[in-house]
Amino acid sequence: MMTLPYRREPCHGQSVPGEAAVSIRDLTIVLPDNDRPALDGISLTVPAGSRVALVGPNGAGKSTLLKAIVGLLKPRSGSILINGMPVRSCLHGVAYLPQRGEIDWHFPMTVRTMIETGRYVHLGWIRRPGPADRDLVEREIGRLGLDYLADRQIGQLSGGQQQRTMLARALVQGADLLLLDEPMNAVDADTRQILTDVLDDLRTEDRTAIIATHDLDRLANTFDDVLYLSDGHQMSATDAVPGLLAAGIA
Amino acid sequence: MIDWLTDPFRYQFMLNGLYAAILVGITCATLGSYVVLRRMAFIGDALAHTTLPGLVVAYLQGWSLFGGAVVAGIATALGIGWLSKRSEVREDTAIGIVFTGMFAFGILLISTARSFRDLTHMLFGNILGVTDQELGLIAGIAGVVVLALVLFHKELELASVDPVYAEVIGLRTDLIRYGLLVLLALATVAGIQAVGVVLTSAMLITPAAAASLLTNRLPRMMALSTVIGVGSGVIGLYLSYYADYSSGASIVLTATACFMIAWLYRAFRTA
Amino acid sequence: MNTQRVLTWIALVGVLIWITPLQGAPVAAQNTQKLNVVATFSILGDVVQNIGGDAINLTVIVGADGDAHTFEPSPEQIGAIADANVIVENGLGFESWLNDMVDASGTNASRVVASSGVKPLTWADEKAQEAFNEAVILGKPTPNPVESDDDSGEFDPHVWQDVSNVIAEVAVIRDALSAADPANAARFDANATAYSTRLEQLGQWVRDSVASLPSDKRVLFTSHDALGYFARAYGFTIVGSALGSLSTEAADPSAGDVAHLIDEIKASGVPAIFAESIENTDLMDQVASDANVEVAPPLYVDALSRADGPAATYIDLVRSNVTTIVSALGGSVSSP
Repeated sequence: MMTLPYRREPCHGQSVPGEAAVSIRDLTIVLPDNDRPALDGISLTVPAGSRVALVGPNGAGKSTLLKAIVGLLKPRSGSILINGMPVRSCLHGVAYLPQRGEIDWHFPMTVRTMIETGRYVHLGWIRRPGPADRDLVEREIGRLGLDYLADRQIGQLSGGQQQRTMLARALVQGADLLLLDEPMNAVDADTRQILTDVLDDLRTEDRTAIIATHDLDRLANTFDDVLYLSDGHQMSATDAVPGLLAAGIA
Repeated sequence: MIDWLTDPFRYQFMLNGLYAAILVGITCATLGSYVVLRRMAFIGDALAHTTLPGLVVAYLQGWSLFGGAVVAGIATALGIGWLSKRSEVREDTAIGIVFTGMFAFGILLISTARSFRDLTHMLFGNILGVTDQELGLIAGIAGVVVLALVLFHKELELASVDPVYAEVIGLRTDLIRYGLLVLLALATVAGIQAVGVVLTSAMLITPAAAASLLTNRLPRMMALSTVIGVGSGVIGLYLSYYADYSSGASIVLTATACFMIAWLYRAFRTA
Repeated sequence: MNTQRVLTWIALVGVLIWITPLQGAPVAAQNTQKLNVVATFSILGDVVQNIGGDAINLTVIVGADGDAHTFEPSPEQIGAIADANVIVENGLGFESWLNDMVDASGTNASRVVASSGVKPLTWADEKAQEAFNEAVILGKPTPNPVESDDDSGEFDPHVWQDVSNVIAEVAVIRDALSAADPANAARFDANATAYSTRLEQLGQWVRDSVASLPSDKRVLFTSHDALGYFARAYGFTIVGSALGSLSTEAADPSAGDVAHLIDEIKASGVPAIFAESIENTDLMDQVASDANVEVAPPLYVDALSRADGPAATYIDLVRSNVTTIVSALGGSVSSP
C-alpha cells in the first residue's frame, strides 16, 4: 500500500555528512506574550553520538531550548541545524520527552499502543502497523522492562513507568537525537537503573542525547559536554557552578 | 413473543424510524467517543442549538431543511474552532455566548413566522416522520463519518491523547480539530432528525460516556458505544409504540439508563 | 467618553421620536364622510365589506391566514378600535382578546355580535355526536349520545361554515350599519339584498355538489374542530379524534399514537384525510402513506387566504372548501 507521509522527509541519507548532530548558533527565542527573551544568544555544537547535559535552575530555559530543537518553537533570531539540515526536515529523527507533557493520561490507551504510536511517523496516513512494527514494539517493551504492564491503561502506571514508556516510544520511532527533559525526576530506583542502561546503549548505537537535568551526579556515566543556562543566558562553568551549588544542584 | 417484537414494524413509519435510529445511533455514538474524550460535550450541545436558525431560515425560504442545518452547523463548527484559538475571551464563555445568541435568534425567526407549532418538531425530533429522502441523507452522513473515523483512526487517536507528540511528527492538530468539528456538525444534523435540537447532544455523549466506563481501549469503546446508542434507539422506539411515550425522550432516557447501569457495574466491580 | 455621550443623546432622541406616534395621535385617517367599521377577522370583514361598500372605512383585526385563537393585538390595532364607530364581532367566545382591547382603547363604538341571529351549537353537543358517529363508523361500542363530559355550556363559534348562518348575519350587520349611519341605510339595504341573493345561490350550489356523494361517503376524517356547522348543515359525519390529539401534540407524538391513528383511518374507510395546515407535514405524509389514503389540500377554516389564494373572499372560501371536500371523497361539484 502506498505511503502518505505526514510530510516530505528529506531524511535517510540526505543529511550532510560530517556535520554535527546539533549545531546551534546565537539562538534567541521570545515566547508569546513575553517581553524578555526566554533564550538569548545561545550557541552550542553537539557531535553525533555524544551526550550533553543542560543544567540550570527552574525557568532557566532548558525546556525552551529542547522545544526549539525539536521544532515546537520558532526562533526570533539565530539558527539551529540538525545533521546540517534545518529543524523539522526529518520528522522521525528527533524525539522529545517532555517532563509531564500534555498527555491525557485518562485516555483509554494501553502502554503497547502508546509505544506503537512511535511508528506512525513512518507509516503516514491510513496505513496500519504491520508485523515488523509490532516486533520492534515488543523488543523495546522488553528492553524497558514493561512486559507485564503492556496491556495496562497508561494512567495506571507510576511516574517512572510512564517515563519508560515514553522512552520506548522514542526508540521505536528510530530517532537519532533524543531530547530528555528531567528524565530522572521523581522516578523509582528500578526506572533509574533501566533508563541509565538504555542511555548507555544509545552511546554504542551512535545516537545523540541532550538531557536537561538537575542531577549531574546521579547519571552514573559522564557527559561529554555541559551547557549551563541561567535566565536564558549561557554561562561558563566557573560562573555557573557557585549558583548551582547554592541551589543544591551541582 | 415474536409477535410482540415484530408487531410495530408492520408500519412503514416504524421501519423508517428504526433505520433512522440505527443510522443516527452509529453516527453519534462513534463520533461521540471523541466528543467525550476530548471534552467537547459543551461544543456538541452548542452545535445542536446553533443549527436552529439555519433550520428556520431554510424552512422559511423553502430550501432543504437538511441543507440549511448542514450549512449552519459547519459554519458554527468552523467559527467555534476559530474562536477557541483566540485568547481574548475564554473558550467556554465564547462558545456559550455564540450558541445561546444564535438559538435565541432562531426562536425570534420562528416567532416572526407566526406559526411556532410548525417547527417544534425541530426542537424535539421527528423520527416517526422521517422521509425516504431524509433517510438517504442520514445514511450518507453516517457513511462519511464512519469512513473518516476508520481511515484516520490512528491520527485522531494520537492527536487526542498526545497532541504535542502529534505536532512533532508532523500532524497539524488544529486541522484535525477542525475536521472533527465538521464531522460533529454533520452528526448533529443527523441527530436532530431523530431526537431534535434539544436532545441531540445526549446521543453524542451518553452512549460514549457509558462505554468509557467499561473499557480501556478506544476501538472497543467505540464499538460498545455504538451498541448502546443503537440499542437505545431501538428500545426507545418500542417504548414509544407500546407505552405511548415521546419517541425522542424515550431514546435519550434509555441511553441514560444504560449509563447508570454501566456506572453501577463499574462501581461494584471496583468495590 | 465624548463619543459615548453623543451616542447616548442620539439614542434618547431617537427613542422619543419613535414613541411619539403612540401617544394618542390618530392612526386611521379621520374621514368624517365614511363610517369607521372594525371587523374582528377576515371572513367577517369580507361580509361586512360587501354590505357596507364604499360608505365605510373597514379595518380587519385578524387578517388573512391569521389565527384568531392565538392572536396578540398590536398598539396600532388598539388605535383602530379607538377610532371605530362600529365594531362587528363574531361572538360566542371566538374573540377572547376583544374585551381587553375595547377597554384599553376607550372607544365609544357600538358593538355588534354578528352571530346573534344564529342558533348556535354547543361543544358538548357536537362532541357527543362526534363520539357516537365515530364509534359507529369504526365499529366500536357506541356511547350514550345524550351524555357528554363537556359541561361548560360553551358554544362552537364557527358559525360561518353553514352558509345559511351567514345569510342571517347579513341582516344583523345591515341593521347595525344603518343604525350608525342612517343616511346610507338605503345603500346598505341594497347591498345586503344583493349579497344575500348571491349567498343563497351559493348555498344551493353547496347542497347540489354535496348531493353527488352518497351519504355513507360523507365522512370527514379531520382534526379541524371548526367544521361542526358544516357537518350539521350538509349531512356529514366527522371522525378523527385520534388525528386531533396527534396534531395538538404535534410537538412529539408517540409511536403508539401514530400507529393508533393509522389503524383508525383504515377502519373508517375514507379515501382522504383533512389535516390542519399548521402541522407536521412529513409525519402526515407518512401516516397517509401507511394508511393508503390521500392528504387532501388544505381547508380554509378560520380565515380567508391571502388575496392571491383560492379563498380570498367568503364565497371563494366556501367554494374552495366544498370543492376540496367533495373531490377528495370521490364526488364532483356542480357547475357554479
